[in-house]
Amino acid sequence: MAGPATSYLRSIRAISVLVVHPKDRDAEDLLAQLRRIGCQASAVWPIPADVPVGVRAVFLSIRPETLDSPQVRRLAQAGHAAMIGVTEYENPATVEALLTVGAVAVVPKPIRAIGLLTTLALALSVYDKADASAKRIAKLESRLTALKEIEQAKSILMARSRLNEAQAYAVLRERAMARRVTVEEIARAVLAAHDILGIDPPAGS
Amino acid sequence: MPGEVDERDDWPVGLLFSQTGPTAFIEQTQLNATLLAIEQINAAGGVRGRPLRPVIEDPGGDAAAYGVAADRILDRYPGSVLFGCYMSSTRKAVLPVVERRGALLAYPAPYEGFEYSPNILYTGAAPNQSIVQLARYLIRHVGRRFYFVGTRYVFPIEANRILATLVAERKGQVVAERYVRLDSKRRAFDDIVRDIREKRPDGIFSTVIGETAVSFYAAYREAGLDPRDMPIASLTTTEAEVALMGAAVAEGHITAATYFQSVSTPANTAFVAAYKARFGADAMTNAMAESAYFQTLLVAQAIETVGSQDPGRLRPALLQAGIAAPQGHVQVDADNNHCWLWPRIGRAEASGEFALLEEASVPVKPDPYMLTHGLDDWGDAARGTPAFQRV
Repeated sequence: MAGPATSYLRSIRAISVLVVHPKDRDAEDLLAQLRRIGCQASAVWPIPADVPVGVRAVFLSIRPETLDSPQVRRLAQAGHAAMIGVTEYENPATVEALLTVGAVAVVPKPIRAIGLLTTLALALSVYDKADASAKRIAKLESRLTALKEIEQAKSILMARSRLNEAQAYAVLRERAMARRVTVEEIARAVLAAHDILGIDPPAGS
Repeated sequence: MPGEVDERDDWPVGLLFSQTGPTAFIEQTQLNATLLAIEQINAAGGVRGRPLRPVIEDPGGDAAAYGVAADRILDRYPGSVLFGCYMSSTRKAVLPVVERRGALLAYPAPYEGFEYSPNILYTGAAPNQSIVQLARYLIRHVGRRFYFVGTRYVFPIEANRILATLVAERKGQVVAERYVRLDSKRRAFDDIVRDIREKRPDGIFSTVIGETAVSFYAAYREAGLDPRDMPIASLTTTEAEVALMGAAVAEGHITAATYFQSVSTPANTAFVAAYKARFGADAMTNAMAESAYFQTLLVAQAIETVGSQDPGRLRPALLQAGIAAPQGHVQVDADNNHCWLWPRIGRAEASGEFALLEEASVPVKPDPYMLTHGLDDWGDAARGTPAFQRV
């Protein structure tokens, strides 16, 4: 039956993939198989300053002489594509390099056509999940900060205007609606004003 | 070592076709067709003046035995080309052997795609040369509700996945997906046929293979079901299966394949005549036998060109090879080792042959990783897959 795998695999066919590898037989085999799968694959060497926009996965040659290069670090930090290491051998240095560049999968040489589709599918899945988690965490963190600011703003209003908590929140909300901004933004304005006016936050806040 | 030529006095080639077991009746036709091609080549003077010598193994339909047999042939005759396999599970068993040993397998059967090995030449249909055309036909002429029955192994499972996707795209529905074992007996289908009567699909997609297919079609016919209301559509029910089940049982059912004995090309007229002359007037050709036949001619032609069976030297010649096959002119695709083939839709007739309902007007480029199996995009001229035409 057509399951989630089918739709997931279908999306792979349309994606753009960058092979960062010296031009040799392995690079050719890798490119040929990616194109057979149907990916938009291109190759580049030496290591580019940036990953072009739209590239969803990068096959990066992990070589002893390039491990420490600033380009590799910059590629790893850019982090908007799934990083797949292409390795010649395995030893602690290779493993460390893979971890450093944030590889989510690895393809050992010599390149074998069979297995690449699976590796690519899993790498994209792991990358997408990690990416979604990171975005969710960032969103939660900013939400948490906003909630803290609203709490502080409420405390200030409660202390200055002798309001209870519900009333203080109602004031913030009314102002936000009147100015067509969010409650968080009003709370931040209250905190800023409070800061400038030099009034101490109420005890316990 | 360019230019170096093999110095043996013949060319041993390994043949891996089961002559026993549940798929023997079809693999025997592949073996026959391969032997016919070898005999024709040898009668015409061989390859570079030396005959091809068939080294025959009988893996008995057991997947693991194919791997063992491949190793055994390559131990005795290192570097000889292998021809063979029918079920995908048997090809999957030989694949690691030929990759490990740098050998070459020519594989003459339609399969489920999603494979590329530099060590395999694929001469049967990929899904974009078979399932896509069948799906189009079914949606246009049969209906929207389908019942899937298959043998539980890699080909049926993947073929069902592909067809289910195509059917869903056209707002169609798969009402059930049932599997049987390769060694299932006739009664295994009692329950399935009962369920089919109850669910009343517009059509049935069968990937039941081997002798079990005979049981299924017979159980269907015995239950009084009518192909005019609810045809069974298949990718593997060829003239050989029809002969085994009896033409009356098969009549009216649909098969998508790149070849039927009824194809009218000069090459096919000669092929059918030679096959009957060699194996008896009642013997019939089929899509698997035709692939086995033309792939032997293709490989021999490449050996003739480079003067060696060494896969490293044979490959470049094979990737440019083309031949007037019985199904039409076929060409190896240099990108993926599969072949440009001629998809067709046939309906089984009382004679045991298939009437051609549709056929491609030009060969279709193989696309083994075709993940976007849209029914419309296979007519995309940019991808070299021309539109299908009614006969």
